[in-house]
Amino acid sequence: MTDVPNTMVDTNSTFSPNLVETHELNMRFGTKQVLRDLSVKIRHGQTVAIIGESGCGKTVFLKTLVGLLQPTDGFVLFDQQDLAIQSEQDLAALRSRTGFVFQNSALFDSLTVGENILFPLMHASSKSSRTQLAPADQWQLVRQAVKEVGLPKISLTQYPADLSGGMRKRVGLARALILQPELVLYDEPTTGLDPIVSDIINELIMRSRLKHRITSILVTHDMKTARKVADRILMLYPLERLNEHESQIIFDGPPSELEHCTDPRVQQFIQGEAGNRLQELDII
Amino acid sequence: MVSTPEISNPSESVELNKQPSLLTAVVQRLDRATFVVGDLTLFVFQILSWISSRKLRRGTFIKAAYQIGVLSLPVVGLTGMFIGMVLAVQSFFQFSQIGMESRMGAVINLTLVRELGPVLAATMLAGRVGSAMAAELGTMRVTEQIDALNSMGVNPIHFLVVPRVFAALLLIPILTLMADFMGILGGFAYSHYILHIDAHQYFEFSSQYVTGFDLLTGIIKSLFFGACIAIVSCYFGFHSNRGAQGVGNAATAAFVTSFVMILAMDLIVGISLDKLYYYFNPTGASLF
Repeated sequence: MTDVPNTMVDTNSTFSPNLVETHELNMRFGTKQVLRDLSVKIRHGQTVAIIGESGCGKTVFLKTLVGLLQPTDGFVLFDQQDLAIQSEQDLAALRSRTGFVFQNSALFDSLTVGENILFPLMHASSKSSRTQLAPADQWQLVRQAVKEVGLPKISLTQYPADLSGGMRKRVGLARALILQPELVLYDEPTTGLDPIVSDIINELIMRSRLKHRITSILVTHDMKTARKVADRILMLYPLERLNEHESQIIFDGPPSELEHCTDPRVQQFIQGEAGNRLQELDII
Repeated sequence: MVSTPEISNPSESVELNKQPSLLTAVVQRLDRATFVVGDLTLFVFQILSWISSRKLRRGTFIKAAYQIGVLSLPVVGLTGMFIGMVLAVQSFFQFSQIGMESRMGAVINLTLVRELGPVLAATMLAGRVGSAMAAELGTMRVTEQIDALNSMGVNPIHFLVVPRVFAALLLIPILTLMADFMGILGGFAYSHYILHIDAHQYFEFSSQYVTGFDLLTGIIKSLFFGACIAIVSCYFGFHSNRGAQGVGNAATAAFVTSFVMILAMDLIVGISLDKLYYYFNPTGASLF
């Protein structure tokens, strides 16, 4: 598999409206605040990697972007539409314009691989040209999607439990892409995979983005993935380690600037050094 | 950089480890119970709203109906048969003391169709079907499959809960009739073949005492029980906490809550139906 350059989408264009915007987003679970005043704008065609240490609210942020979690305060605009004021049906229609690749793939255990990929075509609320196709044509799309993510044809009849972690991720990717979404959200797409399979997933993310001109947002701990796939990196920091008026986003820029960032917290994360944390955790 | 605060004072540490007082624990429990009742009510409204606004998904309904109905047939049949036999064993001694053992059929069959058939069939189904529903939906919650449905624009209540509620509403009364039938058969078989009670008298007295209204009472109760099992089990599965323990707790909570509600509803529905019966028919004569 050859590397695909990630510079084909002009992310600096001022004419491109934002596909996703968040305004002073806050999220609180009981007494624990996870997100504070997050305002982010993501343009059409951009690939944004959200990095940060465990528990800093990356996945929560990702889920609020498609309304899987309701923010305690603030709002999310998807294609200029406020998710909070959408009816159930309108929200469902908006969601079917997005794809979500879950951390553990979230494939339906009781369905085969083929049925999992077919599922959005059969059940999504949107009436896109693909959902209107005859069943035989929909299965043809499923076979094509399986081929695109490099899975063998025989896997169509297998159940998710029979697949390896990398194969499950690829099925999840095929399922997320089958409706040709405008936005794909990836929750730790390479976590738990070996370096080679991780790179295959990275390549698939880049190819799908270039082929279908998809806007992508991925949450990851894997710096190799972030550097390779993204054209913008956002780094979140856990609130319990921040002062009251500090921004939760401690880095926002292209991957090339990451190395030159002078913030020691950013450098500590990208170099993967425990530093003073061992003393803080009182580990002897 | 702000580090996490450390607990340096030992007295603070002791304070943090202190168990809440009995009163605090009771208040917390009541608070939690009130929240669950309110949340469950909202859940029911959501189900009703989806039932009224969208067509039932046939594929998921048939699958749920198979799980609830077909796979429960053996266990419900066996339960019914043993209840009938146990009733025969227990009542024979009492009735034989006063020489009225030929009337045992009336007592066995009346008890079966009005009370024990519906209640014990529902209890078995709460254990077999309800716990399975809670565990299945709980696992789907924990493994983000419910989030996956939402992310595809598929409403999980419409897709997962509504078919299960419909299947339970339709099939639990049918399973109750099956339990009644097997119970009547079991009671008769034991009374006739083991206790040597005359078959003609057994059914003659039964038909004098057991009316259509008694059978209807049992079926109406089972409709309530079916709805209760499906809604409560789906609710607890839907709101399962993370981890294996969370799913286990959801299955346990589903069974315990369903069981308590079955008993409470048995009382309330039983009294209400009797009141209605005597309101419309003050003489108390059999209507059908």
